[in-house]
Amino acid sequence: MHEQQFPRRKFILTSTAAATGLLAGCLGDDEEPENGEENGNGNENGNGESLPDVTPPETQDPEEGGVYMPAMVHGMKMQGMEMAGPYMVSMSFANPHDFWLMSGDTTDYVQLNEGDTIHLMSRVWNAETDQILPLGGMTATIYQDGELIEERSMWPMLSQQMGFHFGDNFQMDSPGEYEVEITVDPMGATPVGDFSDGVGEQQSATLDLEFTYSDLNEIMWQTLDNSGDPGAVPPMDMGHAPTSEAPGVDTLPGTQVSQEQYDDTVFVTQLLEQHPGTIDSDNPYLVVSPRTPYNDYALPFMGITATTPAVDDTLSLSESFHPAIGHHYGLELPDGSLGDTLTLSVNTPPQVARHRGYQVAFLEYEDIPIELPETL
Amino acid sequence: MDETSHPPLNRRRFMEIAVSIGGVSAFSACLSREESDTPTGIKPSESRDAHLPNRQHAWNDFSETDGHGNVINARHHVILLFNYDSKGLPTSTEQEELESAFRVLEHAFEWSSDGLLFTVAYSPYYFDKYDADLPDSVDLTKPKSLAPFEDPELDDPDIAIHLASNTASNVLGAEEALLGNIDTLNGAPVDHTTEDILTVYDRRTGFVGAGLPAAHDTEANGVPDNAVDEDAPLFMGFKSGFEKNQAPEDKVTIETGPFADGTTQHISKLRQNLHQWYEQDPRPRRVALMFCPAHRDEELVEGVGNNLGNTDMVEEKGCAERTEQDASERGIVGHSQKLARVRDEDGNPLILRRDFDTIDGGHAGLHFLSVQQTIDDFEVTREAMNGTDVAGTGAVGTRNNNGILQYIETLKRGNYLIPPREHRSFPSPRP
Repeated sequence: MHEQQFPRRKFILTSTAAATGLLAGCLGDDEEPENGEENGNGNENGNGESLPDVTPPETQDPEEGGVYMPAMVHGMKMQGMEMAGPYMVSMSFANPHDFWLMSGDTTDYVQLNEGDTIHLMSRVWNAETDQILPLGGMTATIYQDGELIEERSMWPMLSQQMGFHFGDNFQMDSPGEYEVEITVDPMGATPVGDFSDGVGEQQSATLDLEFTYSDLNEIMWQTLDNSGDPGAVPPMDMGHAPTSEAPGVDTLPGTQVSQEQYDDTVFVTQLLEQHPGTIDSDNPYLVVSPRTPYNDYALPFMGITATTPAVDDTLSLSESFHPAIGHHYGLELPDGSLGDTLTLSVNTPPQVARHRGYQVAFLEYEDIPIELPETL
Repeated sequence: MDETSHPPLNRRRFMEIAVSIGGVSAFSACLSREESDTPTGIKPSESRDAHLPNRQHAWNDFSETDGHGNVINARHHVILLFNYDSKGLPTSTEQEELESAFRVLEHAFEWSSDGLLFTVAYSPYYFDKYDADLPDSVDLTKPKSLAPFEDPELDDPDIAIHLASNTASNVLGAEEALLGNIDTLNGAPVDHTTEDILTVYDRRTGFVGAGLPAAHDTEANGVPDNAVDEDAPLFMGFKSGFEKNQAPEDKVTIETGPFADGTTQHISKLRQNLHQWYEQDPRPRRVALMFCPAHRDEELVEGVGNNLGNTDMVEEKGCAERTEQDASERGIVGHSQKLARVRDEDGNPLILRRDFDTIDGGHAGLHFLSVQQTIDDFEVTREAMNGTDVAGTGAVGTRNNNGILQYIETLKRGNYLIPPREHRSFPSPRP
């Protein structure tokens, strides 16, 4: 594997840093094309060009689960960005990827299908705060010369390189130019605190998609020597665009209660004196912020409940988003909880589709004890 | 159309393509291919009251039922949306002509799903032409977006006519007769039409029933070739319209006031995007999303679900009560599960669905159509289907793992009043 001139990249390193011997590609333009120019999928265009063979190698997931270095890293081709209400929407594509859908506790493998041409991706962030939002849904409607070609609700996905994004494999009959209307659904998570108008409504933007077989063949991909080892490919450099890392632990408002790694997830919990939203509240507000190790990505779409000696009921944490806290699961503590041990139960693991390296992690959780301080 | 690029034009495909194209040539072509033995209707001399129910929407007793007692919706459908473009209000001459045009259809065909079933309905925009308001006994509101994740066009024609039959040429013929393009219909003279009175706003066609979606999954965009089960009545591959999951006709009927024996009607168009559904979602996941996680875990659904009998078993399995719990603990909620939360005091759903699939525009879709006592009944039901209350408790997203929302886009919505038969021709708000 050759030395690369890396653009500025962000790492979150833990003691088992996976920095050695890896690279993070971004735009394929700067790299020499690697393998994949021959051995097309049998899809040839009139110029004798073939789609690259992107058959993934045998998966080497560690049997014991956890976050691991995938077999390959990939580049992608950016397709621009547009404003949609308060959001900035960016779009890019890569060669088709396999991935895993979450159906509760189970992962459902999505293989590469015949006819899959591109893996279309889109990221959305709040333009004011430059934060990636855990939006509930996004639809891509693809037109060519006014004719509807294809429409899909893209899957919410998590990958080591891209962080949280929307994506899917699309079957495009031919290369060329297309208009893609990206429609962003309102956030399912509860917005907390000051937010610009428009986050509660559907927003859309139209972006141009242009690809050729050459583009697909030129997209960088490379196998990793240390695939299967614990670790993660660092976040891809997005230039001026934000990446999916959660707010740094030191920047979170309130008082930290705990920061513990349970299996493959870092649970950061904070306590605020009261609910940071507009709701009148006297009770402390508990913030639970689960993150991926290595890359510190927020983990969305989890079902978390809590029990505490103070009350009989099981309490539901509410998936929420606050500009300073970021994505989190929040709970207004019942009276008299301070000083108790609150027990968190993760009933449903993150229901976000997983790219390689994340599909045997974030699946099962034991109950997590949180020792609440006596006073704030 | 060369042989190599399309499967042979079998009869089912032929009929449905003819219906979707429409026009006199399609009608003639259909007629020559189908059995010619279609039961005729009421002769002008016969007593109409003896033969025709006062409720235009009384279809159940005149349709077939399967072995489990489920009413089988007619196989072929056309919806014609019309405008009355003249200035001012319809005249009594026009009113008589319109009524006579409808009687032509009743003369030509028996009132049954083998003959022809049809309803004539009026929109709030039609009633706006009049000074008087509709009575309080009618809840007919204008259409609107019904979910934070949809932005449909709002249909505003004056009139909606829904034609249905098991015989494609009956539906096509009825349309051509109404438009004044043919002279006889199943032996009956077509001497009254809408030709000088109404203009066409839109035309929508479709089909429902075993074999029909499978006949079209190669040519329709939005569904993979050959993906749909031969037994499936709809593109998504499962039976719908179980007896216990439909409101009884009595319950959807307006009970008081001048429009008693009428009902309201909601008509929408959904585009279906089923590549993910068939090429990525494994079957157990599809079962959970269409019905309920319990159906997946207990393997209740065989094939398209005919084995379920006369109920989708969602209520019997307690799925509705567990919707929030399943969202939080199992990360997935089913379409039927969310709908089962809406029940009247007798435990019935509020709406009676008569929807059907379509390939209008070359893309797989659903013309959703339901009748209910009030438009509010429909809106409450749709709100339950949105599952916005469970999205954001965690796990389940706005569309992700939230029933079948991932796979559909709402393109159009419209609301109508189906008056009783006696007031079906240019009624005033206070007939």
